[in-house]
Amino acid sequence: MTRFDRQSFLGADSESRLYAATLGLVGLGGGGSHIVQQTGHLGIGGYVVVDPDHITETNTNRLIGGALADLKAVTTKVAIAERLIRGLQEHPRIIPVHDTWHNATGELKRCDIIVGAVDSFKEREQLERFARRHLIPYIDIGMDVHDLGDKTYLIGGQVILSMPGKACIRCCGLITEERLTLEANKYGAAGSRPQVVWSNGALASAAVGLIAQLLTPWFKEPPEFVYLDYDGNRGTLVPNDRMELLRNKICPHHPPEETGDPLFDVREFNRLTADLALRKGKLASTPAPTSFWKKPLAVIAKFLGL
Amino acid sequence: MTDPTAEFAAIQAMHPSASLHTEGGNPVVLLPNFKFRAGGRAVEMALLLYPSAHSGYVTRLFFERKLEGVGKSQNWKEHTVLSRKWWAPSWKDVVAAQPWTSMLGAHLRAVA
Ligand SMILES: [Zn+2]
Repeated sequence: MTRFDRQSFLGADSESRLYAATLGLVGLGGGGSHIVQQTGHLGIGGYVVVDPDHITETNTNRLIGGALADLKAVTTKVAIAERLIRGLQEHPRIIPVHDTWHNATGELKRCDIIVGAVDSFKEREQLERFARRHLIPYIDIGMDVHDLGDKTYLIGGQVILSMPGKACIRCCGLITEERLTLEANKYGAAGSRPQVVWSNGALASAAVGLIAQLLTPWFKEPPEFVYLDYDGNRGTLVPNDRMELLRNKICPHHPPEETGDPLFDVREFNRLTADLALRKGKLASTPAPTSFWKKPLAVIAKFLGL
Repeated sequence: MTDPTAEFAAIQAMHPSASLHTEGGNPVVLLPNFKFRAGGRAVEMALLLYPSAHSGYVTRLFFERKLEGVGKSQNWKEHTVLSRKWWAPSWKDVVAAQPWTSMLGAHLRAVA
């Protein structure tokens, strides 16, 4: 008997597959902290957890794993995530990056799946683009509270699985020039937007379900594109109207020729690469055996038409 | 609409080590070891010119390093473009309908 007996239906070797996988998790706030907790329970073995912030009082309405004592200790969100995972697993491989994800690209590049639980449209678009370039499945979660006037509020949100070659978050209409412009002009400023624990949890749970579908043999045909809408007032999470229409769309926003590292050969960046290698040595609290850093080969082979 | 090939040729005439890349199908110009003046001092670093809409701006210039408090630039933020980290100040309204060489100059005025 193992601790995973009750999830053995995920497939004969699901336990080892989940342990071998490395998850990149960007944003460890309301949404991301649920994902840390659930993937810790699920048995994911490798983590690159990224967040530049520490816990503050206004986080305590939703930050899973955060305790009131962490406020006084000014505990970082990555430390809370690491503590949560280590409380659930004996030998996890964790690279905590207490910084923005822009300073963790060397680490994120080696992940099997990247989940973005970030506030801004700009960050989401750049993170998805980074994931696409490196042929890594990207899952985006986000929630918002809309003021309908007359003291009526609607909780909305979405979960999107964005795979290389398939519809992206721009195809979904989540990213638009108008939204990016509004955000740049600070009209859509993030940071103090309303957030609640149960909606974050519902969206994160759906994302963890997608992670399990991608990594284990549970689904014979793992999903290639998913776009779910959350209505927190009704308590529903359903496929977006456009999900079926977008299923076979060829995304024009991420051309296949833009795969790979475009500046790999440019001498100018040798120094930057060396910096990253140094940082990596410093950050890797539990070094991962190389074999653990392989991407799900089936996913990549499919994209390349092999 | 500008012709990227001709525009890039003009940039390359000025800075021979420039290279042309794409991001999201849009042309992007890398200018390694570019020498310019910032806050009255000579500076040398890589620049990345993005001559179309990016992150809510009509065009952008990205800097290898942050030049905080230099010139009129403010609100420097990190970006990842071409899989590398860059810095850009909030510097709006450098229009796309102009030669790339002028566009570069218009962006550099943020840190002049
Ligand atoms: Zn797209």
